[in-house]
Amino acid sequence: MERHFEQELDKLNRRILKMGGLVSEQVKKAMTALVRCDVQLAEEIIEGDIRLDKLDVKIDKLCQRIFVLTQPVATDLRLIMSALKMNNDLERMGDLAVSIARKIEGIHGSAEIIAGGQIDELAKMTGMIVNDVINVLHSRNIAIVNDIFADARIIKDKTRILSEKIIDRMKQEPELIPGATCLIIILTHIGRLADYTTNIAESVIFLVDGRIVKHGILREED
Amino acid sequence: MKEVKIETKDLTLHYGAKMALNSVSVQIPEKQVTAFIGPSGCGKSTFLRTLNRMNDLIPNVHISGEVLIDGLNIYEKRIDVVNLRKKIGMVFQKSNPFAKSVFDNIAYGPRINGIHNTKKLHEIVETALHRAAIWDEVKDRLNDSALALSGGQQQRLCIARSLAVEPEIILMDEPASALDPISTGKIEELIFELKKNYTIVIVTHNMQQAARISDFTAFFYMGELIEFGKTRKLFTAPEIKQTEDYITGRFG
Amino acid sequence: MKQKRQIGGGLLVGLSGFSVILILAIMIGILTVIILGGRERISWEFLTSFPENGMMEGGIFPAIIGTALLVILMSMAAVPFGVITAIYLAEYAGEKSVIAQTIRFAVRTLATVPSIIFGLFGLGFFIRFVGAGMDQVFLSGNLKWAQPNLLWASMTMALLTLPVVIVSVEEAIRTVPQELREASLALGATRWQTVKRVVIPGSLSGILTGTILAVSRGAGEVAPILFTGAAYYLANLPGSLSDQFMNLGYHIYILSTQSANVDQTLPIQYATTMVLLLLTFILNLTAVVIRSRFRRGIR
Repeated sequence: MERHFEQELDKLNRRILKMGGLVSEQVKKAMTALVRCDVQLAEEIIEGDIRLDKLDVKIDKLCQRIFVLTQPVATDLRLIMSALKMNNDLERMGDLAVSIARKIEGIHGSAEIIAGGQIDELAKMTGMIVNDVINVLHSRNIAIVNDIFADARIIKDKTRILSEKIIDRMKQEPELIPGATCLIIILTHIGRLADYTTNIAESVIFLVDGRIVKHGILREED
Repeated sequence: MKEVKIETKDLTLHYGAKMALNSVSVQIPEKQVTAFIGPSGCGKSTFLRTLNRMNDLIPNVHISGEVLIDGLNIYEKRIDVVNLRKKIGMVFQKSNPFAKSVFDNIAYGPRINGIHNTKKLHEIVETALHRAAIWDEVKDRLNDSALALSGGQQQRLCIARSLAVEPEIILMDEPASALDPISTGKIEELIFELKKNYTIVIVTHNMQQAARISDFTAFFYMGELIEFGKTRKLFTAPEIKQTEDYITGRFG
Repeated sequence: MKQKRQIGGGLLVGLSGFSVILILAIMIGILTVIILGGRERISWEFLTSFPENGMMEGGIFPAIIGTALLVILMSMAAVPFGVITAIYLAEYAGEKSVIAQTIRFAVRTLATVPSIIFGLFGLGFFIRFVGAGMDQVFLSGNLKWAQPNLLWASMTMALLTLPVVIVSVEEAIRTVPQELREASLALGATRWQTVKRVVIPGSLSGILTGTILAVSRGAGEVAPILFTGAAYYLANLPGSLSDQFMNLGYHIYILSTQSANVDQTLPIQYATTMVLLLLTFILNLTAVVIRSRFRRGIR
């Protein structure tokens, strides 16, 4: 039996996936721009953010409409609830990509020198983890979700360690301070990207399973 | 964790050759609202009526399995059906007040239990009408015919009537389905209040209503109990696909 | 096509209209003859005095009283019995049970028996058997009960009107909605309590209607009382159950067939007929009014 609001639900699904795709692209660009110190690419990222903002608003309105016109239950309900949350998280991730892009110029091309060759790996991991979580959203296959949680933790550890190293070098080579500061800020943003990635994974679990997972810990139904 | 007030074990019911209930086993907790949902003809009303043995009135009915209330099987030979029904109140889909005054309707139950003292009857009637949240509306019309009340008022009158015999359990068979939204709202508010003191089992075809007012929900389909659980869980993440399909409107 | 339908419809209306006029005409004709023939005799005196001078003068007071007594006694016997039977059939007996089907069959058959047969039954059973038996047992053979009297006549009439009472009371009981019974039982009432407190009060008007219909039938029937208690002329009003009585219908019958001078008593016949008709009419009207007020009440 085709329900009249089935179309709306499909539309919502498509839009969230589109949003995910756009964010994934932005993050990948940001990581590339970081590694190559590509200011032009950074400009593109900043300009591209407007598409995300528009889509964000459209998704919110669609969710509102579905809530008001139907009284969704079960999977429909979980779709809308998780869509709202993910919309928020994705939009923040987009903002983080932009923030990273803005700081790239300030590194003065000295990323490699300061960080001693570990930015490359970190950037790659970050790009991949965002890609992975969007894939999970697409496939609704939550089997690899634990890997995502693990990778996110690794990324956060790495950013922490790297930041400490850079601070040490800043103390020794004060002329690096401006660039290093920018880099540390970028690393913070990357850490938060990892957090949001975890959020998205948790939302997908809720969408698929109805289980509420927070901070990588399964909450028992009360 | 609440005590179990009503429990059925493999309850099966036949109307002649037709099976209406198939091996239903469920535990209904005390002083909570349990809702039965399911498509028309799925057996939920039939099940409700087995709890106060109203199905006994229908010829050719065969029941097997157990229905335990407070641990006692109510289908045992030695059970006094009349007494059983005093412990269990019932409110029907279409309100059915007697063609008597408001007062006499409420006093009906106590009177058949042998209470004739006027003062006591007045106390009982007033208490019952208060508990059914209708006292203010009828206190000046106690001697008017009950049939002069509006539909929503009549239904609350019927609730008061069943409260007057001090039951422990109240069964409601789609109590608000014939009422307008405002009256329905009043009845739902009443149910919230009543569950503090009574175990309530309500059959409803309105899923939103079940989601609004019940603590536990049971989904029936074709005479079988498909799923039973906390309402919040059943409506957010049902375990069984059939339940999911029904509550999201994919069938039924 | 349309024309055909119109013709058909018009034909129907025309025929019904014609029938109505015909029936009204007949009724008015009969009433006119009766009223014209008897109006000069109608007076308060007529209604309250005894017949005199071989029925050619005087009034019909004892016939009125006799009819009234007959009807009252008949109701006292038929109504309770009929109500109880109707309650049993409607509330206690299963639809298909042998007892219920037997009773219904008996009631239906009883309703079709010609009234003269009831008269013969009354003679043979009540008078010659029960009455004789009573005389044997209580009066050691003296003749008191083994003859026509008020008691046996009213018992015979009770049998005649029993089906009417049973059928109309059962019908009234069945109009009490099942949901009220369920409500009562769900409150913990026994079946009898439900019948007593919900069903009977709810079908009271039906019981009344049934009674009135029986009464009106009883007021008019003559055949059953021919051999069981009616008398042509009694100097006194009946003082006990073992007395005979006069009766309006019987009076008319005798006046028109066996009086010495039929022509002279004609006005009295008409007048008596008027009284009887009026009585029957009032009774039936009362039944109709009660029934319609009841129907309005439950809406």
